[in-house]
Amino acid sequence: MDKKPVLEMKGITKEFPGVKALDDVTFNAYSGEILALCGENGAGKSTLMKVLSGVYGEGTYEGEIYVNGQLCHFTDPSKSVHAGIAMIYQEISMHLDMSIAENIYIGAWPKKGGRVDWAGMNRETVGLLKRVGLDMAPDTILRRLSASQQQLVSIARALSKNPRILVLDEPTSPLTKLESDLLFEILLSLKNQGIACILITHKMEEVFGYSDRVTVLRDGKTISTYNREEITEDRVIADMVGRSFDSYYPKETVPIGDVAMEIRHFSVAHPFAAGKKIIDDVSLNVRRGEILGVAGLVGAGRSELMNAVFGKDPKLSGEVLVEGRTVAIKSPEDAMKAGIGLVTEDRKKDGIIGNMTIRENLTLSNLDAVSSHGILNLKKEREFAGRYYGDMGVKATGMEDWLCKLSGGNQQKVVLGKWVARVPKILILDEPTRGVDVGAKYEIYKIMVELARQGVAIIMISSELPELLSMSDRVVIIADGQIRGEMPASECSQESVMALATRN
Amino acid sequence: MSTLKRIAKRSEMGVLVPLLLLWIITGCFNRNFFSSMSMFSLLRSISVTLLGSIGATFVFSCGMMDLSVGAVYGLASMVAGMLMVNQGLPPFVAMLAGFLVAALFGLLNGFTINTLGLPAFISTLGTQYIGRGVVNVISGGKQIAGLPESFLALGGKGPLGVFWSIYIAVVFAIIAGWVLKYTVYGRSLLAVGGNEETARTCGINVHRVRYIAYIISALMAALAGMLSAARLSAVQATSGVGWEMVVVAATVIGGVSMYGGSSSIFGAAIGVAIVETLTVSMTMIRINAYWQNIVVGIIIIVAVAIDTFRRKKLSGGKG
Repeated sequence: MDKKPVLEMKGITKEFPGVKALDDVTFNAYSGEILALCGENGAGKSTLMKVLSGVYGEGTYEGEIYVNGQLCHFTDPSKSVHAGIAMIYQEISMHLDMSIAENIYIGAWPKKGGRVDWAGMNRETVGLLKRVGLDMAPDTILRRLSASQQQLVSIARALSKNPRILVLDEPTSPLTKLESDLLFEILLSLKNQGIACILITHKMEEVFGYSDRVTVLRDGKTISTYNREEITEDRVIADMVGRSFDSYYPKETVPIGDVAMEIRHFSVAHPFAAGKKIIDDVSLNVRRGEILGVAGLVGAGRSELMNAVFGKDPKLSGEVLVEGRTVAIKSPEDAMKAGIGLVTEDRKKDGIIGNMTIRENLTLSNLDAVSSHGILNLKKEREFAGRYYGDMGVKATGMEDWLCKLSGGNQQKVVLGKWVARVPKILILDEPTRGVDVGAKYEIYKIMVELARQGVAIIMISSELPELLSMSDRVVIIADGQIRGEMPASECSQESVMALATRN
Repeated sequence: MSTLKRIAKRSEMGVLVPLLLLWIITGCFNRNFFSSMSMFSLLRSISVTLLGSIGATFVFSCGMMDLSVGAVYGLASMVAGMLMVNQGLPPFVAMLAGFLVAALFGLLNGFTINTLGLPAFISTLGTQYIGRGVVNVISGGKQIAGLPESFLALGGKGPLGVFWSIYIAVVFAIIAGWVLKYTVYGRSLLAVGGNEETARTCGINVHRVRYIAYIISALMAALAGMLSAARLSAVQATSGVGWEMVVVAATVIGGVSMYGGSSSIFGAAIGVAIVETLTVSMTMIRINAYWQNIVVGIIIIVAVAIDTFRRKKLSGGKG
């Protein structure tokens, strides 16, 4: 390929307080190709794309962006859209109670004589839907669509802006295998129409099945760029990880004791679809000192199960036994009294309080330990928080830093710290290393191992299979709200787990 | 860091400076402003509004809003006044009844917001109407005069010639500041305002925290209403109309975030002082009363804008 690249990003450096998220990143994309942008969580992929989309406007980073050889100034997202760049984000952000056509044209209503041109809009929508292979009426309400169909609508929305460059941020994470295949068929046809597709992913089968070139990011730096046919999977993984697997997962075998917690016949209602169950009659147990891995696709109901066990969300039925005794859990308070802790999936949503200090976050679930008769003992609080601030290895200028000022990894250490501080019998970790940089990940694994050694029973939900298989003693696989398999981690392969997780 | 620098860095300084400027400017235009009489009467107005603002600070801190305080202010003083004048009950008992009615309104607000899950803005607007309606129903729209002397003493001066309401407001402000900073409840309140879901996950009973905040808000409003009745020697059916807006404005100007999670009683007090001083000073400088509303309106927008931009700056940066 010796033609000029349609997109060039040169020397992009972006710093957040305390971390260099991007360090002199350079990469190109050409028309009519699929470029896979690989890297672990926290490698800087999403940050780079936020720079490209203008979410982080010009001036908040160093470096230059060229589209078709012309220097661009993306001070805000609309400039980037105008230059022909369309983004499809990981989380599908759509208005569920609006029609397909409205979702596609939201904010850019086609107008005729000052009024919205509904007929024209529906006509255009039909054409766009055909391009993404979705055979549906444009006035269908989005809520009636499956996750993959919604994903296709978001691609249609991107296409409505006639992009030259289409960026897809882990588009298949909410999709089943079959749905993903369909999505890639469409990507290939878009590529043949001359669009440069940038595919952010860490799934090797997507990289090797569909891309033309691969660029690997690690720790905010461009590590390598290859033509796909020139390389092997191992090479890409080695570039992504930057060290061998053995030293990366500090798993240790510790003696496994009695059953610490048993979950019996749990059912949980689906949060959106009335009458449907997202968890249907699930039973499992975890032993002292054991790390139980829970595998499954996004949307399989893993987090919903754990939130219901913890009393955060209501359950339809089911019972929890801690050390053989039934405990009635109606609220997180009850679960905590029973000795259960929960590090939730989405830190920002329900893990941290951004405008409180590290100290206040660390003691939030331990207020009883640093107070008497409802009155806080600030000296005791400082000592208490200081202990876990040190133990967790939180990197900050001090305990009085606001949590929103910390990097993802350090925020996660604080969240973990506040539960470790309770000395729980059972600790549930939902995607504990999501959005966490490599160094902090390693430290979080170390903490998990140390807890297991102390006899804590750990349940870990993770969508990163290498992590799940390496850190767990035993793995259960959940798909469609039910347990589809259970085996010792030593007998699992990524393929065998994935096959069970995607079986319908 | 030197003490001076630390003081200068406190966010309350941002509103203290305008307050002092306001005092100096008013004093230059009209020397009478600094006379002890006008200062005392200014402080008395401040003290009554401050009680409401303390309540609002609690409600704001957990990310909520209470528009019913004006109605509760009126209702509690009307109930107390009618029981004293019509039933001849001793002031202490009558006031207790007034507080009880206020607490019921706090519970009602808590119920609509927690249990029914309604937006605070609308449901407290509803309870405001209910409260106003009840005042008119029980009083027939007439004022209650002839309050007993022992009750009226509350509106007068205490030791050192300082009004009782000033003593009361200062005591409650100190207690409130202490509760917010040094108690589990205060910390929980700020946690709920900072991130309700996180607070819940950490075992904090979010509903209970909010119920208590609304009850505190209603009790503070009732106290303010009764003090003001004692000063005016009468209870009007219209007393407290629009008071909730003065309270909200003053609290916001004082830098208490309407988004929850941060609070300062000291800041709220300065905010109240600014609003009350504006009313007095513009009258003294002879600015048309209609213009006063425009000025207060602009100040509210500026204060909320500062709060909002500060939030954005904090939540920006990291993706």
